[in-house]
Amino acid sequence: MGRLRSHHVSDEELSLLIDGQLDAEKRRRVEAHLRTCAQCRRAYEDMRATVLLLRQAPRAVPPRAFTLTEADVMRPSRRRSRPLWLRWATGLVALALVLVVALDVFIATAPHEFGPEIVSQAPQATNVLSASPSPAVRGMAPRVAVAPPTPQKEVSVQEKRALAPVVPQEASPPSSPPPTPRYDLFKWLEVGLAGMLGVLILLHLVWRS
Amino acid sequence: MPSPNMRDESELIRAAKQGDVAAFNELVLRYQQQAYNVAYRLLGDADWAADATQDAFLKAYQRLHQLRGSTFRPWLLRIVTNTCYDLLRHRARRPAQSLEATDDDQDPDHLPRWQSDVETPEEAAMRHEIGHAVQEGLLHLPPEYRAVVVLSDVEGLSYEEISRSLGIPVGTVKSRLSRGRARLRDYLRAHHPELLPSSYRH
Ligand SMILES: [Zn+2]
Repeated sequence: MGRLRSHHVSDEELSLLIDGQLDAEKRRRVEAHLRTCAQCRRAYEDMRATVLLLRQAPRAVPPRAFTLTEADVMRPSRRRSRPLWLRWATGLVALALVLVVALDVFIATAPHEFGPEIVSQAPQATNVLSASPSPAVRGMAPRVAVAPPTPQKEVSVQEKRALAPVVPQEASPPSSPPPTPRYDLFKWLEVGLAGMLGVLILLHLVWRS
Repeated sequence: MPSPNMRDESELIRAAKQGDVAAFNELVLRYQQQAYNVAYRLLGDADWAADATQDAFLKAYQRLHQLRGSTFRPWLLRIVTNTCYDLLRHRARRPAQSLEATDDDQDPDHLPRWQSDVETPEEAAMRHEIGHAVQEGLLHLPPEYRAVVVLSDVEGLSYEEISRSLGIPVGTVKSRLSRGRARLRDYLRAHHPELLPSSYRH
């Protein structure tokens, strides 16, 4: 655009002038410039002609009446009547399923946070223990090493290191415990909730059609 | 044509809000010409404009409870323009689905029927030529500019009414209008100079 020099009239000023929306002072300034500048005058006259062409443009006639029938009006309201409880129930069941799975995974992957009883009850940890006891032991060693309430803080690093291998021998249970009710509880909760969610999603599909 | 049982607008709206479809249809008949013309100018396709207008009136009926205080026309035009924007976005996402594919020979350019006042055939031909050139130019504008130009210069709405129809401040209306008009002017200079005064001066 070549009309960006400051003294030329902007398109917005031209547009406002066409609509009679410039205040008196601005209008006088713009009109004075238009008298002396052929470039801006052409820009103004072509813009005004463009607006006139738009006003003259023929109007499109609607091909039909857009009035609504009772059927038009009823259809969406029936769709909207998909019951509120269904949406709530689906949301709650999905949330419960996520929480149960998350808790299950959390307990299974973070055994040291719960001490030896829970470690032995979580199925994954049980398998690991029976295969190779080292990971669970490593998880427990530092905690036990720090935990003993020794009044003297002057325990040397060598002493600590010496302490560590001793403790796991006491802590690791030699026998692999049988599946416990807690494991079953998670399994059945997950299966049950997943089943419920499936049924609810099916209901949603039925309602949509 | 004022008829004795022609009800006033707020009365029709009140009745329609209570589920009186006949009252709502009276509003439809009052505004469908304008709604359809706006949709056609925004979309450039007679069939799409009809779909958009029908859709907009249905939405308007369903959302009537949201209409408070404001007058019906800008509220309706806002629904119409938003419906058209949605269609344009949808079409932009799927350019492969060409309109020509669903064409029937009776209506090759998806042109609407034009309102004809009492005029000579020459005048009518001239007006249609202008209408076609203007529509081409409008379709070259970004949709936000196009909507402001259509509402202002085709429909004759005030800045304030455009502001309410599009949900934008009056200052934005002014700047979009000026840019839209300038771009349209430049388009016509390039493609239809015979329609502008500057062409036969030099
Ligand atoms: Zn100048």
